[in-house]
Amino acid sequence: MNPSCDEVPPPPVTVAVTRTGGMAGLRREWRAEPPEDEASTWQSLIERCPWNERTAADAAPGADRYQWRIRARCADEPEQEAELSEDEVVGAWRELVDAVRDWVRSSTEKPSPPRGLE
Amino acid sequence: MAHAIIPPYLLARIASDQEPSWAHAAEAARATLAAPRAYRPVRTRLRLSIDEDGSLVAETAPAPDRTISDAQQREQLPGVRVRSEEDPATGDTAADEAFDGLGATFEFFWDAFARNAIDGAGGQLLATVHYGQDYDNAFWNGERMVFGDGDGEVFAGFTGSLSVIAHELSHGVIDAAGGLAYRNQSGALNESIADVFGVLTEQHHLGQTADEATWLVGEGLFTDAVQGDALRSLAAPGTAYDDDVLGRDPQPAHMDDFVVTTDDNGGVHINSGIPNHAFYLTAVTLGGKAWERAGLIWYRALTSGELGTTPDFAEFAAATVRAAEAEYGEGSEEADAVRAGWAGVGVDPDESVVR
Repeated sequence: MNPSCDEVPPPPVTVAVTRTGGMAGLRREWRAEPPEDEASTWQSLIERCPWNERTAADAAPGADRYQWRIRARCADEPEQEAELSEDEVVGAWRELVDAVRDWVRSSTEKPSPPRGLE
Repeated sequence: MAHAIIPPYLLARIASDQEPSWAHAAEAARATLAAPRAYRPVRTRLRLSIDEDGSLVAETAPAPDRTISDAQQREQLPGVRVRSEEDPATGDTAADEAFDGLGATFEFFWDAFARNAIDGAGGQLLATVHYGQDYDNAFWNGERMVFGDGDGEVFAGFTGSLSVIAHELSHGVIDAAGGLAYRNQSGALNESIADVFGVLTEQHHLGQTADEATWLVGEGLFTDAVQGDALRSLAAPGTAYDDDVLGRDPQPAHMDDFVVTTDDNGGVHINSGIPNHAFYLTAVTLGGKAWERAGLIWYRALTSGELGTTPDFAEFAAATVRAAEAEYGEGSEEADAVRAGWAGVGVDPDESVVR
């Protein structure tokens, strides 16, 4: 079941993206908690991701690739989680990841954020 | 077909044989010769030097076969080819740094271990630069080395460090040697061996001894805004950076601090600190140029054919002890140094399963 966010009043949406691995082995996390008036847009982004259509993540071939963990929750729905290799972060997944990173970037740009808090 | 088991001159002799009993073989040989061959020459160069007696010495040595491509900020490989072996410098810093770095790594593997390129047979060295937008990574995709430009805030590109270029090429060497599964302890060994050959390439390029070297991986990749020297330290795992935003270098230097996690393919870039430090301890005990003895032992262990794809730390440690004893003798200074190196990080080679 994909989460739905159509209860009243409109519930908050939370999406957390964690990136580990890469040559540097640095752990980065981005977390979006958009306001109610953006909830339907985010709900649609979340619903388009194939949460239930994938099997266990196989590592992408090679070495030093990123590993992604994406968690999304709408209101009282159970949290959904997916672990993805770098090659799998395409299409709807990539749009969701980019949206979260953009949201964090734009929300931290306003009050002159500390460096690197994307 | 790059290599043929029957050399062309032999086929020609068989093909021209008039002996009736060889008619079938002659026909087969003629057909083989007539078939088109994809021929890829292995590059060789001539080295000239003057020996102690003042005589001119000419010797041939293999040469690298490099091709650099430019992804032009997209995430599609290979990108547009911008420099091949005979081409002049492009003027693009990343492309030229990658080209030069692959060359220095090729020199290291040939000079230290007589290994001719990634596959040991003079095969191509392929790299792509300018991968993605603000891409904070360099990786090996199973066929080529790929370098991002960094985001300019944390990382200022990935081709500026020879140890990183050599690290990526070394992943190819590890794959060609049979591969180490990229998860948990075997994955951490994969990472560690790539770090070891990465720092050794830099030391070889600079002519440094073990006590002169920085033992850092990725020095100079961080922007000035980051509080840190490098990505990893073999001399002191866990001390490479300590930054307000990035946090602290999470690498352990001892089995007591082994990190259990599902992130990062089971902590392959974290727990690699343990075998990294074992190598460092071995190398500084032996002294001199670290690639000459410690590096050779690690290389022999990797290419011994005895590891399988999922060795744990103790199994790899046992392979390095066997390699040291085979190369230098049981009870040798080198074998003792290897044992002491592993003991220093809490790994007992004798605990490994006998294969």
